[in-house]
Amino acid sequence: MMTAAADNDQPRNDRELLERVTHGDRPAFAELVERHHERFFRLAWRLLRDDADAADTVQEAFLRLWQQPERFDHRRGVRFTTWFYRVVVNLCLDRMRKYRPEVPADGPDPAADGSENPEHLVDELRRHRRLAAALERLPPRQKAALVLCFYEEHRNREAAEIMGVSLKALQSLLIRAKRTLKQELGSLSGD
Amino acid sequence: MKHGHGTDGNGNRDDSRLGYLLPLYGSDVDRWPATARRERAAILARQPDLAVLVTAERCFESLLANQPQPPAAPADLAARIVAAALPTARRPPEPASLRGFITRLFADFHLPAPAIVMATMLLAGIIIGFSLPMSTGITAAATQPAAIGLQAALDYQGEIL
Repeated sequence: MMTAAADNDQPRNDRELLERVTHGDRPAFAELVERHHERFFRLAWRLLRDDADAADTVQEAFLRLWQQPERFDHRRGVRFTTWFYRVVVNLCLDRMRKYRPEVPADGPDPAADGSENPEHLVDELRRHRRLAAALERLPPRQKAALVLCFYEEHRNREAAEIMGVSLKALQSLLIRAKRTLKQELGSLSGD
Repeated sequence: MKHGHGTDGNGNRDDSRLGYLLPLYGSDVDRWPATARRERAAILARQPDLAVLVTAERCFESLLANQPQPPAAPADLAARIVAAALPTARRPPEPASLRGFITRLFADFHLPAPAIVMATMLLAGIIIGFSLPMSTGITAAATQPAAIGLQAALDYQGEIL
């Protein structure tokens, strides 16, 4: 059974840790980082598709938290993770706008490698690559909406809150993203 | 009440309505809000063949899900973040007072101690300079007799009147 003293040494929730971080508590900051860095690395990677960029972004987000923890105002009833999602997403969007990679519309033709793949497998590979390229080409905010709602499994309202947009705007971004991707796949079947 | 084929009570087409709702909430009905879930059930009850839209959305999601998965975060990422953060100077909270503002000002400019001393002396010099009378010793000496003469003339006129 956990004693009261031990309980004090092991903060149970993010808000308490953050309160300690506000007062310069380094172990509390280290614990927040340990607790959440993996999740936010995954999010950043999904948006940036680059290990180093994702790691740098997460590091930058946590550095901001350490330098100005008072910017998170828990009195507004926002959870720490929701707020931090917003910080990471915004940093990713900034990077995506600055360093948008040129992505080829298609990779090498899977049928051209001479292997004896069944036709459906080749089609599957083509679709897979076409979708990957289309995902990369999505406008940053559409991609963020898709990643938050589909891959991170946030409800639309949560995703809207994270992105700092209205529910309608989020839904519009999501619909446009999916429509673009489906059109890309549709054009493949028409090739 | 039975509605027209392929429309709800308001005349909206079922296929376009379901085609709008599916990308919003996905193929998994458990993730739909209650109101939209009832609407979906009503549409599929009226037109069971529209289940093909649900299947198409599921196929699309399956393709999305098969995209490359994020790797694990670098093993040293957490340690790196903590190491990078701890030596970093923490910005003090937003200034709530003049003293806080000045403290923040000096913290942001990172002035070395001699520069702070020089700046303080300069500031003190300016303040003292402005607080003293504008006249110097020479001008004061030159204007003093004229002031006395004027006062004497006034006094004199006063006696006549």
